[in-house]
Amino acid sequence: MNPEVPLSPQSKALIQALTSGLPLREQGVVLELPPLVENGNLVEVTVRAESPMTASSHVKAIHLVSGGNPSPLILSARFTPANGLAVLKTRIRMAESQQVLALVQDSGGQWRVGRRQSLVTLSACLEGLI
Amino acid sequence: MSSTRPQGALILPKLIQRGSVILVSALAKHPMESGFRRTETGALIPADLLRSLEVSLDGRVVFESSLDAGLSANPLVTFPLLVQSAGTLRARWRGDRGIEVHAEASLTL
Repeated sequence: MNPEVPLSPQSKALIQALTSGLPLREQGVVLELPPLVENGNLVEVTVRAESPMTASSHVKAIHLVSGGNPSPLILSARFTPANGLAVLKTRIRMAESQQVLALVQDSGGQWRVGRRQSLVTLSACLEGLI
Repeated sequence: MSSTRPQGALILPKLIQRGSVILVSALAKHPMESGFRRTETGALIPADLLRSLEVSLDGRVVFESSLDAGLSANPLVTFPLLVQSAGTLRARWRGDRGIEVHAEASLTL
């Protein structure tokens, strides 16, 4: 196991702002991310949150947060029971080895989180153009 | 010269049954310039980003997302949809400098 890469101050501030400091449970959220990334410009990520997706109990939002990019919020997606499932797939940039977090906001106001860490060997370009 | 005009697409499964949950992919052709890169001479390249995606089915919003610099170029966002009826899906991306990208697909059962 690689040691855990600490979250950047910006990503910690973002998580605090999104959740208003409410507790984050590590339960029922799976984030799929490759453990080793050769090209940080394009990394596939999938989030799956367990939820009945009914009117009374559903996922309201999934926020994808980068623990190591200069801009910590990757996207915020809104969900309703009309989605049927709480799943989101996308392709992200990773500037360096880092944790990626999926913050899940449930209709009852509770927050859950799923997280994964990737080792990045070629970072998404922050430097000179080729 | 390749065209740099933004384009979008909505990708649906071939076979769709009422009552099932399908995955819809929204893909836009766009550089998603992050605003963090520099040229060889050290000048910062300004951000040029798509900032939001909204997908509606016959005018009813079925998915909304903000988009930011952490997304790869040509952003692809895949979301689920519980199919209750046929209709027309429309996606609209909005970005910097007033840019809009549109895509449309028919959801047939």
